Amino acid sequence: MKQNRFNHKWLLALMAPSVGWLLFFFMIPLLSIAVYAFYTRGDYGELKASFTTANFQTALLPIYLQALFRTLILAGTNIMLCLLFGYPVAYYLSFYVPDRRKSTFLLLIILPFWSSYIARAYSLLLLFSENGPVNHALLSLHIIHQPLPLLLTPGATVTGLLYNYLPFMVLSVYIALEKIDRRLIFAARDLGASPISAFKKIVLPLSISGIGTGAILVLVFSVSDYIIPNILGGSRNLLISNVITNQYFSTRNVPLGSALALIFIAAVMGLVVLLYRLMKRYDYT
Amino acid sequence: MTTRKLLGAYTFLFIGILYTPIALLCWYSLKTDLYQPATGIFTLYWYHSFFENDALVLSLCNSLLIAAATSVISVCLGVMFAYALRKVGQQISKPLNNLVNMVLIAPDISIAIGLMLVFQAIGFSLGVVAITIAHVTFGIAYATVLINVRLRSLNINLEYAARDLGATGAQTLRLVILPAIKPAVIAALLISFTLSWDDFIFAFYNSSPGQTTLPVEMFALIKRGANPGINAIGTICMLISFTLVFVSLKFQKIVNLL
Repeated sequence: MKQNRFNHKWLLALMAPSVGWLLFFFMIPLLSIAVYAFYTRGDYGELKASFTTANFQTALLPIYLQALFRTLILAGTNIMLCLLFGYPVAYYLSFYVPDRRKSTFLLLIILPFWSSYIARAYSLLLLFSENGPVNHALLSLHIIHQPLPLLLTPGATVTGLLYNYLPFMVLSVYIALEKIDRRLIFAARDLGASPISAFKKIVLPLSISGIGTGAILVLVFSVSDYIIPNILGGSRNLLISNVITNQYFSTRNVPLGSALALIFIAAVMGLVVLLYRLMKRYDYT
Repeated sequence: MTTRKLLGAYTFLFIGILYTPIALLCWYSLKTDLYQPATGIFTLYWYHSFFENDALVLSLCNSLLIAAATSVISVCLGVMFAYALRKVGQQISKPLNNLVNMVLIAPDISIAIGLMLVFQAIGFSLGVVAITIAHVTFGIAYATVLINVRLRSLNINLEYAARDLGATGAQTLRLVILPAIKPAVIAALLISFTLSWDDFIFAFYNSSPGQTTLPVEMFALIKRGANPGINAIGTICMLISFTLVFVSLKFQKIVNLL
């Protein structure tokens, strides 16, 4: 009994700093956003304590909802593209690369992620600029006769997000593929399954957990991204992060910004839970 | 056999494309003229002008300091937290694990704003300390998850043996558990450092004039218009990150860093 009490205190002492930190610097900030969302804005941008749902009514106006949906659709597109371009790489890595070379390939794929994120966004800006290499190559191959305005389009934003977050999808799928018992595939082939149906019936279902994890990671990173849409996408295709930031720094409407942020958090968390449930439902491992 | 060749060719193309923008950045940073990089001559001018710029060098030092502090604090707290989480009962560990997961999935911008609002409300001045606090908040979450995964694969009997032989709780943690989870500790140090070093949004909301980080300064420069100096700064950042990765690889195999 005494031993137990000692253990209890010791464990409490180990947990207290982290739990305290997360309560003070995570839960309280979230709660303060929730509280400010019910405040009103004074004439000079100052905060007035009140309890009004007016901010939420404003936040649900089509102009703000459109920004939210645009953000989510962008993230969804990015997930699909990451899966499309990343899955074959993960598959090659897991099934065809000999074990001793695997770590070299993994390093090659995640090293760019460790380079400076903002520098990468800027290098894409150079790549796609009007007199950058992409336009230069297309012009000299006579595919186009005028430089294409590649920047400041939704396509540029998607390309930037895809470039940045592909490694996460590759890694998640790779980890799931590595866990597949190879004998299952041999058995399927022995029993007469074609390579394609063996892939569809064995490999794909068993890699659902990797696809799900990758999708959640890419979703969370894509919706929070601020730099890439700003540098590559321009301000015409406004996303929710920009809208929220404008409320705090330009129009100084903290209550509206808080209401928008709260809706944004709820939407993202809801989607993550949904994806997680879907993943668990179709996961056979 | 053809599938293998096709996938192989695709993978090599994939890796090539992954490195193109990075190579371009380094190449441009050594050229005099941003708009005629093919014809311009090589120069170190942009690196020179970076080190002449006191504001930029200061923000680089801030970034390094914040990232170092973040990784050390996050990993110390994360190791203690993850270790204790494995010992307490389900009814305590479940809500705490959910708290950690919430930090990981909440959009960065919302935590950054919330922290700024709290700092302003209590009159805490924004700047290097505020940014470090913000970074440790997500650093703890990442470190806890990484270390938790490693602890799960550890044989619990090791610990019982140590306790049976008379080691105290603290001694067991220091002499038995820590060496066994070393790969995860190094991975957590590297990842929390990189996340802090690369972060823009937390620093953007919680910085004040003169007390900011390099990514925030770089974003301001880019917003003002293309500037070849940015290539040089980006290349310097990248060299620092890569050095760190390779130093970590000296201690640990890549597989354990994932």
